[in-house]
Amino acid sequence: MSKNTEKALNILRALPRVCLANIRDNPGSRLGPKRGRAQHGGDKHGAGNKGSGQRQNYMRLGYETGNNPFYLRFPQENYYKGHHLKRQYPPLSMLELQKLIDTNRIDVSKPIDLVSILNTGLYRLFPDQHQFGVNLTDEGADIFCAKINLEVQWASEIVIAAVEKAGGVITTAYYDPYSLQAMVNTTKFFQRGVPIPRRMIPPPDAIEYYTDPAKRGYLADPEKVSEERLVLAQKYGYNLPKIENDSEYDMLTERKDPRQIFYGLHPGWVVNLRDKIILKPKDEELLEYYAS
Amino acid sequence: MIRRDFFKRILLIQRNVSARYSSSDLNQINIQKLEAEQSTEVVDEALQQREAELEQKRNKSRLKDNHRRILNDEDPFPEPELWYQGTLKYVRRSYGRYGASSGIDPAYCWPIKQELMDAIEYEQIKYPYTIGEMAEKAKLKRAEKEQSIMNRQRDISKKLEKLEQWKLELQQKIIKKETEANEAKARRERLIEEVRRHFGYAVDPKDEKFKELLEKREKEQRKEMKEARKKAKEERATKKLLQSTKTNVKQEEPDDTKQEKLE
Repeated sequence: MSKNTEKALNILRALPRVCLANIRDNPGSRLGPKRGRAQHGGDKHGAGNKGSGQRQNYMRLGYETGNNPFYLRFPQENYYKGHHLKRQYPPLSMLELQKLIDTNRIDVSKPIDLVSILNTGLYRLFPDQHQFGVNLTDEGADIFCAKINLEVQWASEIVIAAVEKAGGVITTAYYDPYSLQAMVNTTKFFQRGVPIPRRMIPPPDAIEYYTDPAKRGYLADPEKVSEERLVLAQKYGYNLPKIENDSEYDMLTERKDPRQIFYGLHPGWVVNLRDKIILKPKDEELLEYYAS
Repeated sequence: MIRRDFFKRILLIQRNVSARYSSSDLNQINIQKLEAEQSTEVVDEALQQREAELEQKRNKSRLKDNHRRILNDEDPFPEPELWYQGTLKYVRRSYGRYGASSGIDPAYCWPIKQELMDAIEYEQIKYPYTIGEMAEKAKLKRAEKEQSIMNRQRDISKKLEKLEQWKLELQQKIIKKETEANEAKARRERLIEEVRRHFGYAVDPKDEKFKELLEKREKEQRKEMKEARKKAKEERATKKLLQSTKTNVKQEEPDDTKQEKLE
């Protein structure tokens, strides 16, 4: 056998087998739908009588048959300018968070991030609707008493003060929509059989927030953050609990890498839930890509 | 698009096939070894065949093979039947769901060269600046905004300082206008009175004669006022002249010293 013949045979071997599922019908074997001539033969087929209803050529949305349409009547609404592009952070109150902790839905002995909040099933997130994570609101801040290592996407000053007063730490971190989609349903993501992606850097209009030590941004200088912790304690008048002397020091000081999405898993790794294994790339190019 | 997919698939399957071939080679080697070791091989094969036959007969579910495999939590299509079943996405998903039992090389999970290059290019375009650069920019922007606010506040406070003066000026202007209007009114009344006195009796102000005389008087009055204004102007001019000559005489000496210095 020549080389070409072998190649052609190889291709032929690899082609899908002909079966009932992938063969085309005989030409003319399928008849198109016929208009019946029985009981409802001459009817309008439920489309009403006359006009755009019958002809099903409806007017475009917002059209008012020649009137100046409402949606064009007012020349501008600057308050809503770019509203469809703004980042949204669906709220979660501190009261709810406390309740999740008290009802054992969140493990306090481990760092808490978006994944653990989503895994409770009581907080939902839709990254395709421009939602970018949790906005922890201050409702119930005065009864919050859990010592946690918390990571949210947006937090006010009072919330930060409440968490730190209780002996915990809080970080605000940005996740791009693709990473968020992986976090929303981790099982589904791992079943896709693709490596864990790198977390992308925040967009220019969010960089100020996530590099601000006063907001506990994940890109801020840790030394400045600890300074700001002291400043906030003095502002709100509470004694800042010392983390250095804490028995859970390791847990409280654990942070994700700015490129990391899941605790303990690095970008580029493939998790197979069926075999319960983690696969790591060895290729130099891949390693370089995922390390950067 | 479809063609590209097709070739990708073909390539992939070839790889797959080669992988499978290598594994079957291994099996053959094993069998040969076993054959060399044991002589009961033939019996086992027959048993296996019978078992398979029996299994086929026992299967009365009438399910399609792929559906039956789904029921048993196995890869429904171990060999591609439809065009999309050879695509990278599908293969990765099969591995993700069925693990090593799907017979797919896990190396397919990671991006191929083209995908990697595309990803790198995409990121270069989407994220042209580093975090440091962006932070610096944001800082500058913030500072600029604050500066513009400060400038505006300063402007406003500067203008507010002059507000009282402007109020006074306006008040004076109003008063002046009022007094002028009053004066004009008084003057006209006086004129009318004079004309009346000239006629000696109460004349109707709409009368032609009255009007003529009034106009004449008004003209005279205007002339007088003009002269008075001229006189005042002249007086002011002479005063100014006198003053300037006086100051010139005074300033002559220091002017000389200045010139000397310049020389």
